[in-house]
Amino acid sequence: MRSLSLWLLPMTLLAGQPRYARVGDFEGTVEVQIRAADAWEPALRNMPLGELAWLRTESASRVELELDDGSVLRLGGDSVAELSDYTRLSTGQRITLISLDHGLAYFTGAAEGKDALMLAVPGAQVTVRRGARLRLEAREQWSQIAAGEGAARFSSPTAEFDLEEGQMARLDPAHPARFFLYREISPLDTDRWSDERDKVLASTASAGHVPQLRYGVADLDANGAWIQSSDFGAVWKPKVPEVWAPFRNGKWRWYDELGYTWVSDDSWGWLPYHYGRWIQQEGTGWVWAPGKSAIFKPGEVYWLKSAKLVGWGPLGPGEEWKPPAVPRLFLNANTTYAGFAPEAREIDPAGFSTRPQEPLATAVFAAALPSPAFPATRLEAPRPVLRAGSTRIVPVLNGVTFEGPADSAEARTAAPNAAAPPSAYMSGPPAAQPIVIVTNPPAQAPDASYYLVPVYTGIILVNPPQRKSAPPAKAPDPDKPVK
Amino acid sequence: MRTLSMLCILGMAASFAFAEESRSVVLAATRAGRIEILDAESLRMLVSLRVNGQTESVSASPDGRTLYVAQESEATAGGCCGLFSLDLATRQMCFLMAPALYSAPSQDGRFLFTQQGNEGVEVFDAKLLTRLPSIKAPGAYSLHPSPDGRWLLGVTNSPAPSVDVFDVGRGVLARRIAIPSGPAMGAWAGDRFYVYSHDESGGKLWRVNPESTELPAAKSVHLPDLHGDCTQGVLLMMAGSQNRLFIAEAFGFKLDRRRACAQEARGGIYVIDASSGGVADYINEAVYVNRMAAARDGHELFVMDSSGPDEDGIRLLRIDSTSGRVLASRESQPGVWNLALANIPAALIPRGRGRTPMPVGIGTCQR
Repeated sequence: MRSLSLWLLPMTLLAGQPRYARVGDFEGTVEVQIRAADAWEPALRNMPLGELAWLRTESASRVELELDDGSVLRLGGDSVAELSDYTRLSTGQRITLISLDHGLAYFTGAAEGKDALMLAVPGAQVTVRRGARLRLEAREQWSQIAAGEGAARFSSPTAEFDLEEGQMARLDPAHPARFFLYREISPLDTDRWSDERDKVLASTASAGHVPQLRYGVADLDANGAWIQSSDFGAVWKPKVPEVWAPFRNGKWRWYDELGYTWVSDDSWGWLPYHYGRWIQQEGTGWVWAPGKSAIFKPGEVYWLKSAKLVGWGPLGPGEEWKPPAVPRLFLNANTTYAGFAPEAREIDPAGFSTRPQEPLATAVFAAALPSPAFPATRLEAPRPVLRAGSTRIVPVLNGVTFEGPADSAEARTAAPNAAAPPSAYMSGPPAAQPIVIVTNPPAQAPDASYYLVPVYTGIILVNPPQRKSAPPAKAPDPDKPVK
Repeated sequence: MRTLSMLCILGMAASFAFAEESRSVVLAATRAGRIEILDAESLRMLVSLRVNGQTESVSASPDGRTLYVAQESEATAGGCCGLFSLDLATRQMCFLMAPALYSAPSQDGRFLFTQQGNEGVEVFDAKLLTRLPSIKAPGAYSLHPSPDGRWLLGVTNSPAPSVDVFDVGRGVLARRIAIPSGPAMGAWAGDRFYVYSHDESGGKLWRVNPESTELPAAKSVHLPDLHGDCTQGVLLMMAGSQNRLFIAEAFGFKLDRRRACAQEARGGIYVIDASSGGVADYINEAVYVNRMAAARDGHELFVMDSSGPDEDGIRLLRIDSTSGRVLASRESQPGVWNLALANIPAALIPRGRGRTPMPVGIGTCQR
């Protein structure tokens, strides 16, 4: 096992930076489940969501999720979606797979370079290569994908083709050998909401100041102004009261991968708290210097801690602070305080009234706060299986891949009535039986004499009977030839 | 009408004339940083490609236009390995992933599989060279794509012997088939997959049906006592083709029983009838197998023969699997070699360049 760990070490060191999506605009009751072990909790604007996070809405609710590549997912009411794969490889390539378990979703975005971008509904998926605006529906009896703009590659167990602009495909996940392709998209009331949000996000003037960042940008336009600073170039000044400091309106939430992470209550509070640094300039007040890094940070602050109290404030641009040194921007007025208890998974300054007058007399600077314990049960928490759990569905039989022009007469006919599709493109054999995933570990106890290192050659070591229980550390590595 | 017929005939003739002729080759990769493409009949070298050092493995796409090479990369500087694709038409290499020691192309040419450890199977779109979502899986496997492209079978011995069946279309681990004894190894023989395990009670063989979690009753394979008085373990390897399985003791690795147990360390290859488990033959006792691959029709084996336990001399042999007769032999430069079989379009094999290693470029490629 130690060999395996050493072998995996470079992967750990070189793995791409983790990716986070931003919970943006929302209405009604929206909840998130960050990890399987977490309870569902109310969504907060500016809450970061990582891979495997779930998002759900109640009826008459809606939410927008902004992805770091500039793509946007919007959920309508009564919907559940998962960020099934949300990875950045060491090569920089981004992998995104969003699964809609049920409900309604809109997606606007494009895959850049070698990025892989896919959306799955029960029974089908689409791969987005160039810019597209898609609408996905996952209902009890059917799934439907519509291409409002652009095109995407549609895949189901029996068909694969380019879903072109203005087309809509519907299938019954229980009978995937049959699907319907429409030449028109039946409108929904929520379409306008998505269209309008797309326009708002697309027409941002701030994008030119933060070319390396693709999400949370539009909120900067209406809530502040860009000004030129002699030291930091273009900096952004928020519209805030005179007595104000960064990292004050919001709270810290514990993330297993990030540590305590700032979730801002400010509508614009995404980019300025996870990228760049803040600086207080004479005559101008607080401004945000975005810098050039595109690495997501949980919130770069100094910490001040006593037994029952914690305080924090922003670090300045380029500041490499290590306690016990006094941070460059430290002032009691710049520091926000909250009560602190060990194992806290949330630190909320709201309502904290016992602000210390002489903080350095009772508290000390700390590089980080102690982590809550990580019980092993968090790794094994179960979740229900998503209906859109199939991560990749492609035709596996010859002759069922649709490669012709999208308007082929064979492929589709007009379908004016979406409720009762009058025509269908039918292809392929009956659907395969559902696949059963057996996840229970085998009952047989591991034999110590087996190789624990991967032996891709398939070569096995057969020990003589008397040495069958020899410790694995003494077993020779069959994959290291003699030199 | 006659004119039309003539045109059809001419068209057919033209299509035959331009049909891509492919050539059966052996791909031999050495850690010295070279891939040799050898004629599968004569074992004559057709071309030698210079690649990075630490070359650990090589495989080819089914259409023979792309090789997949695990070799030293920037990401694993001084160590092994990153996985690269090598486009034979352009001689360009594209970095795919690191670390990765090997690759298993699906036989329908759609996907390329590898692993970065024991946390899942990594999947690439073999045509676009883009990465697809990983298949979450608990083992470190030897991976065996099915001939029809539907399944990927992973044989693992940790924590216990099993065959994990991956549904390639759905990108999921479909089922785990526990092997009652172990350690186990597997191979496709035609369109059937077999798992062989060997313990103190002897050899056992199962045919694995990817669509079922049920194992049929094991067939006993009566190999002679492998251990004798030797207290060292025996390394076994297996290859398969049509209805035959080939099992051999592996030599030339750190554990080489010729050092301490020269009496018991038998070279040669056991030929097993896959459907009955019967040992049909034992061939080439004087050959100490280091690597082995079976031709698709099962009539020929390609074997790296290790010259001695403390030498790194190596010979590539083409062997008639029925008679054991050596049909062709080639002395390779000393070193650590890996072996794969492929069919490569003849036009992509440069002629007249002989043994001159050809450099290949490394870049970021996108199709």
